[in-house]
Amino acid sequence: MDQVATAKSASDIPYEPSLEASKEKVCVARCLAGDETAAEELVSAHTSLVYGIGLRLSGRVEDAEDLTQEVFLKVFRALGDFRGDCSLRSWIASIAVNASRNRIGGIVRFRKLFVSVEPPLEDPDHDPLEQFPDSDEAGPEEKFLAAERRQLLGKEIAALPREFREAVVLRDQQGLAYEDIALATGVPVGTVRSRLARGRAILAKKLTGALGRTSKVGAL
Amino acid sequence: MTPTLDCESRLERLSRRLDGDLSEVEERETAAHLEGCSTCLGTYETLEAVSRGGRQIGRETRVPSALPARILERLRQEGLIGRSPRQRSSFLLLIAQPVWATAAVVVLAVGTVLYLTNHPKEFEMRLDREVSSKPPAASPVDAVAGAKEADAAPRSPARESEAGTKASSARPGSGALGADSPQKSNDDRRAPSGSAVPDLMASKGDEVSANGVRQRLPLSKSSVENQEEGRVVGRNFSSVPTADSDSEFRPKPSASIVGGPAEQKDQKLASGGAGLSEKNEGAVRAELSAVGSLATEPAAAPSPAEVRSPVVAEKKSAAPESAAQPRNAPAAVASSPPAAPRAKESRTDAADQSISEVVPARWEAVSGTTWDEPPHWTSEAEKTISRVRGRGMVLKVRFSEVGKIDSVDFISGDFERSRQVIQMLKSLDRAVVPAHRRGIRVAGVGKVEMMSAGL
Repeated sequence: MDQVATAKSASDIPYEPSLEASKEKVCVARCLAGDETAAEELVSAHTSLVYGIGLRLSGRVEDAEDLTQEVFLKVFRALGDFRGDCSLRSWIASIAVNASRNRIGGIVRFRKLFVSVEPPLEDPDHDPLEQFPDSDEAGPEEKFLAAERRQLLGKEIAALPREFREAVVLRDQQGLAYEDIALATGVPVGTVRSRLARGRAILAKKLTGALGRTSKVGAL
Repeated sequence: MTPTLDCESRLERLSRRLDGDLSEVEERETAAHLEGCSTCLGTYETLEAVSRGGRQIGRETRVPSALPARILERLRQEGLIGRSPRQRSSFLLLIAQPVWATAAVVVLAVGTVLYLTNHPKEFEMRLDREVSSKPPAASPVDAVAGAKEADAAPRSPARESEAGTKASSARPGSGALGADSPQKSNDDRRAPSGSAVPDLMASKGDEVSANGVRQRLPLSKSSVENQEEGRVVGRNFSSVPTADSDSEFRPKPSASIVGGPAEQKDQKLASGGAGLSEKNEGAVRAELSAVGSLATEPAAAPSPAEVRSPVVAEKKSAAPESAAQPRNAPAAVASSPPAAPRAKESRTDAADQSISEVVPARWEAVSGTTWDEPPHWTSEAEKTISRVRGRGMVLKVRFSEVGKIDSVDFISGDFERSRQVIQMLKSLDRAVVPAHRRGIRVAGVGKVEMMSAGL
């Protein structure tokens, strides 16, 4: 029963807060009416999503920034076509995924990407210790080791085949629901489940081989 | 417990359990299996660690602090925010964008250059029209027809008739048709409504001639009939312009067209013009007379540039000695040394007239149709080409020299009628070469083969 309880707590993913559906419609309507404040709200609410997708799928900070601007240009150009059939978040995510696919030329480039989880260089306020998870029992050394393992995980994610990587990034890193991932990637929900399971299994196998013990993997 | 096939198949379910995607039944079944299967439990823990690590990576991703501002700035630059959609779609705002404005200027410039390149004749005609809008004091026509009436207000029909009669009588060899009916020439230029400036307001069948004056193209076969009956409908292009007509419609004379031997062409017509109706035959004879006079004009053939450029001819004709020269004196023109350039000028004038009048008239004569629109003249490799659009057909006419049809190509329209017209032209004049289009093919000069295409 403890395992079940653990599983339930694990599924309680702290997703990035997004505009609710009703607020989304209002925000879109205001944007279409020329309200610049609404546009700023929309951008600030979804920049992290778009930038995260761009960074994890392209692997370079510079590409991610360009991609983010490009995606928002597309979003605002097509905002009048947004009918509210899906969430604004998933709609924007689908644009970001497609833009990433178009931007990234070939599989070779994928192999050498994943820059890391390191913050952008231009952020002077960044403290490397901030990226470590807060844990009452974890000391600084353990936090540092956990960060190294996550860096390794990040590289392995970047080395995944595109379809698996998209599923893992959109689900685990961006917290999209299966339906939203299906919309963003253009595949059925069942395919999303399968790709996500296989992608996670590949990562688990590689990390187990690299770290030697499941317990170390679990320390991620 | 060793991994089984059942355990392998549970991988997706374990992954879904991480996301809380299992139903209540699936959840109970999976939990029960994990309690008894250490392998699946280890796999589940690893998957959970991977998923948790991924979420942590997502949380740790830092968006550059300046990125949202840059995005908003870019959106403003693109005009995507800060304006309502109605404003956004405003054309004025659209063209106010530097990129669009630049693109529009480039497109206009390129289009203008291409147009002028492809329509040099029209461009020159426009220039010429502007030139001719000034008082044509230097024109030799006005030297004869009277500069005093050049600035005059609209003439009365009586005065016009009088002037025309004088001019016709003062012209010794005013052409095969012009000689037999001077009064008709006057009538031809008189508007039915009695308008003082009749042809300037004409609509259908009008054409702006190469020297910039609006002229009337032959209207139809019935117009020829009307003229023969003394009724005036439009200007008959089969008649050679008289001095009066020149003074009114053309600032330049066409001395070269006067006095040409038409007999040779008549003989040719008699031998090859079978199949024409009497009316058409008469008109064709008239046209051939005019063309014959062009063809037998002595030497001094105009250069292609002269043929194409009425502006050049206009400037040349404005020379003082030309203005002083009596326009209706071919012998004097031929004998006097200063007349050599004048012969060239006259040839150029004749070229203009031939292109704009004789050929349409011939077209009308043999086809019984009119030109629905002014011919579009172009030049290609020193040959003049026109797209001739008559009723129900469009042909391309190529002239090997002034007044000489080299070939007629069928472009579109009534093919059978076009074929008949081409054959008539062929029988009347030198080699008329039908095009290869739609099965017509040239087998040689004067020979036409009909190739397939159901013909």
